[in-house]
Amino acid sequence: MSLLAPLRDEIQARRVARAQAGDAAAFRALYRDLYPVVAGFVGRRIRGRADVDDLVARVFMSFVKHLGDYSRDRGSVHAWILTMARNAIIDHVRARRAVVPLEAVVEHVPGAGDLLGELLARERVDLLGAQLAALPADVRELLALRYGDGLRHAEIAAMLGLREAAVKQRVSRALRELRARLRPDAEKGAADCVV
Amino acid sequence: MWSDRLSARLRRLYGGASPVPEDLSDPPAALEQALLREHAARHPPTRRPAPARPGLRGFLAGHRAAFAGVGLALAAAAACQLPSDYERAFGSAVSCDLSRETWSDGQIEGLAETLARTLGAHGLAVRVHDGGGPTLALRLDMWGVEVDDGALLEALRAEAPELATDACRNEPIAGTVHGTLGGRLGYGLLDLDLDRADAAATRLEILAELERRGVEGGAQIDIRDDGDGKRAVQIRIEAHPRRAPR
Repeated sequence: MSLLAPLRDEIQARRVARAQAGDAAAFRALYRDLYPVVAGFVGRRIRGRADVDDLVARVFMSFVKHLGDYSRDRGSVHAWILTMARNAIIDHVRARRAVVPLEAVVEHVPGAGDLLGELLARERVDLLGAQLAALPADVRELLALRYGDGLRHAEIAAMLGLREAAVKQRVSRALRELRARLRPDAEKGAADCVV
Repeated sequence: MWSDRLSARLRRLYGGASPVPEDLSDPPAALEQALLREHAARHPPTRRPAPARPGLRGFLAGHRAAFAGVGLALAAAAACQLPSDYERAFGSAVSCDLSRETWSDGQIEGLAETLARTLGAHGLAVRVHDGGGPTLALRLDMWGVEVDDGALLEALRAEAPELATDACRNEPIAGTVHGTLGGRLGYGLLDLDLDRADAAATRLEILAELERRGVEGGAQIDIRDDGDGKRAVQIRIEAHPRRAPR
């Protein structure tokens, strides 16, 4: 088990405690630490640099506004701010559409919607992309958080309000399903190579 | 393995589908200033102490699986007090070249204390050598730190991102202990990853070590799980000098 993520979480939690007590240097360090994480998260899901900058700024304003509410039982600071980012993206999509069905909102949050459209366009010939498209939107979101953002199961669970065991189970099930769908084609591909 | 290939393909697919512009990783200064103003308004500095930190105990409790895999209790019989020298590590030392213009004494002390606290050091020694050049030579001796080298440097960079990657290096604090066979065996056992399946093998290793040391004896190993991620391993060693044949 890597010690780096627990160390990072510990350092960030301590900085939040210091920032809550008015330590500006600790808050500045948190901002510089978390900015690339939040910007990457939003930038992978929203088109248009201006919208991304605007959303990231809103996330950090929300972060400083709710800083006093943070406690360790909310999970890691990392997952906490990404939950704010996810909510900001959902609000952004809702504001852009007069009537937004729930499915459409989900399509625009992690792993779906624009991202999937892009990856399918680019990877049209990639069988994996096609198989991903057949998965439910919530499962694609889990896979995007896990493999696109590199989040741990516990962090995904904290973001989505699920139990960690449930996240592990769903990701595992999705991988098993993808593997089952891909295996016959992979084996066929291998057989085609035999001369 | 297929599952590893699938994970790698998923990472490539998601990572490549929507690359993030490089300049998005640079925090804008204007936003930083606005946030600092907002922070100052909402969280003015107070003389109240910061919320209690959980310290090493809380950190370990939160990551039992990573840190509390093995609790080792060693009960050595009196016959184990045979003299024996052995090498052992006592902690980690970090040496850094710091820019004289950037680092004040207070900042160096703050960095050292934070790092030692984060890594759970039992003791800390800070030495700064000023050779008159543009850099100061810092050496931190952190006693009782047992994280791997990568984690140590990562923690250092997390606390002081302004330090250049190659400005720091670390080395173990190690030495020769003029101790006893019991101490030597006990220290060696700390490196073992014990579980029930390994108990028999561990017993044989201990007996072989006793044999190499020219002593006769036996080892009894008892492993107990508390069901909460902790494991207690009690090893009782009985040894006495080998009797000369009559």
